[in-house]
Amino acid sequence: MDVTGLVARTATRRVHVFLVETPGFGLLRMLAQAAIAERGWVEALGPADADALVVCGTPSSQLDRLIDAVWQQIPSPRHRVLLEPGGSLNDLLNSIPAVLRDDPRQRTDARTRRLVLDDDRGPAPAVTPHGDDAGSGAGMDPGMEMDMDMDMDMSGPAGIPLAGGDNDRDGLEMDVTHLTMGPLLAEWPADLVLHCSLHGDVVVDARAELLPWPDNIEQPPEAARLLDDAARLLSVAGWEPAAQQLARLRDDVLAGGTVDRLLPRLRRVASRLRRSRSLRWSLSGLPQTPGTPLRARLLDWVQTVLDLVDPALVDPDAVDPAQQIPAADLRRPTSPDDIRLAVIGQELAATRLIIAGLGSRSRVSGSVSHE
Amino acid sequence: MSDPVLAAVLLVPIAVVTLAGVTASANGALDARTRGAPLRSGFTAPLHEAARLLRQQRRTLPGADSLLWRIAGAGIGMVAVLKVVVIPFGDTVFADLPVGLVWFNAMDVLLWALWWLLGWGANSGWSLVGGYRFLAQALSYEIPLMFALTAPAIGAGSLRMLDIQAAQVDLWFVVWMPLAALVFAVSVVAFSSWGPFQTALGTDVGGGVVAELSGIDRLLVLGGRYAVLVAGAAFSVPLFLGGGAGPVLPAGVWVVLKTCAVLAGLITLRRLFPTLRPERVAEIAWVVVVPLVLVQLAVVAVIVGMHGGAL
Repeated sequence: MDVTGLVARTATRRVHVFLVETPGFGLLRMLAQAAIAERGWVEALGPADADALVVCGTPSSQLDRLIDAVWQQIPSPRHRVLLEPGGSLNDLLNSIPAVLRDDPRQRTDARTRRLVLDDDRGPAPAVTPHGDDAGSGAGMDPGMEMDMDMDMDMSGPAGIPLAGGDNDRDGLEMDVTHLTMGPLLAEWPADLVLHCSLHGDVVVDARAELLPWPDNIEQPPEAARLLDDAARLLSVAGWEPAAQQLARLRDDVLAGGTVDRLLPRLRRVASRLRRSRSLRWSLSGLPQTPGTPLRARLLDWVQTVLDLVDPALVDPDAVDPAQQIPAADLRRPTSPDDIRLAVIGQELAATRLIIAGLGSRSRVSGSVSHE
Repeated sequence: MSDPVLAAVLLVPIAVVTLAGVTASANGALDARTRGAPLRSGFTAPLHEAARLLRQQRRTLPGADSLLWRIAGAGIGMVAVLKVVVIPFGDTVFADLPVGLVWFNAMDVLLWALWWLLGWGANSGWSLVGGYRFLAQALSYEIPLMFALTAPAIGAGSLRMLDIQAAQVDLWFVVWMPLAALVFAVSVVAFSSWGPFQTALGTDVGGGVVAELSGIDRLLVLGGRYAVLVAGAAFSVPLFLGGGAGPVLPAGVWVVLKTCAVLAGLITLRRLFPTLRPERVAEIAWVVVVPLVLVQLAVVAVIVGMHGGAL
């Protein structure tokens, strides 16, 4: 019996796909998500969790370098494909399991790689370490005895400099670590990069960067876009089942589902979100940018979708699309500075919620002003 | 079954893994239904995932504390098995410790170390934050959990699991200690880093403590997490649900059936609530839950004092 073959076949039935969205190619990413769900596959949260890397849209050279770095972090067996507008999504996805099952090819790939993944995330290794400190893992101790003179040039384990110390918001000395969020991060806007300095998991400083959008790309319909925003916010808030419901509705909107099928489910989700006390409690107490509380924004998005889908509410004479954009989304565009001010002093969880709460509309305006 | 040591070594791990697989399968099917994916893909998820991860390359990071990292990954499932060995199946108990209840608590405290080391060992920002989060959450659930465990001990006047089970012959503890039972159930979800208490593995930190794991290491952690959930659910049976008591069927079967019922409840819990942020949970845990559990303990103590034993 071919045990290896059997394991390989079983192992490639549920492919984990890490989706990379190139700025402006949201529609392509949503279509890929729908196709992944339809196959019973899974969206990976990061490179370690992935079998396949699917890049949606043609990346710029800068983004391409980052994608290469992420590709290096994906464990074998692995496969990488580029999905472009007009390309056949199904053919592309169907090719993945066959490549993953190709044992000789995957073994060769695994052998040619360095086992220790060097992913450029930390600062550059020290040039002149103070003595031989390499391997002294005890120095990573969160801060209590950290010497204030310890600069970033200190060599730590594997030649990575140890984190420096600083006083946190309560006056306790903490390690300062640096974390860059985006653009290749699950449930994160494709055109935003946030460079953070952290005390524990509290953001002490941040710098936001908006990536440029290409012109003239087909955008998803408004209802799908809003459902996508809402699904993302719920996913970041850690309510996977509700996020999945919304994602499924989004897929159905994109596939041209009929109103009779969409409307009852939409109403059910909307009332579920409205009723949930724990969601209200979990989303409260966060600073907002721009203006509206997170939960109100979420409900606003879903309500707008209801209005868009419900034939009884669609007035054929009023074709002004501005009327169908949630009020909260019409405020001034969010600039990198707004984002920076909103996240400083927040925990990582709160930061992610704040960013997810921006939605995609405000980011479009932001990147326009960026030019 | 004649040799309890052999049975404990073979039977308990197999049973725990099986039940963990069933739980993961049920959860996968529900997820598939919600997402509109083929139901079959959800049911077979544990099998496919296990095969996938067994075939996947392990990975490590520069500066990772590999020893502690791997110990933590492998340890979670072991803690689950070690918790189950003190659970009585009728009159059979694999390890009849006079302090079975304390043993469970000790194993549960071990999970603090394991989840934290898992986050710390990877030498990755996301994982580290996941570890921090688990500790923050643990500060909220551990004290209420310890008090909740005290209630059955007072009720039975013993720390031995067989005695605690025997004290429920007339009336299950869940009836007159509902609050302690509820706190225990919620704590099970919390120490398994699951459902509304999954912040350490949250989507918002890219998977947190498992963000950098692949291959067999990831399988051990994700499987271990379900195993811990199973162990917690199984422990609630002798603690609050009368142990193996039940008509017709043998006691061992009743224990498994009751465990499955509790697991069904825990799976439902995940679907009903979004993740609760640790700093918000701390508020509720210390201001509301701790005083309530203490009141529960006082009530139990008074009842035992007046009645001269369990109800």
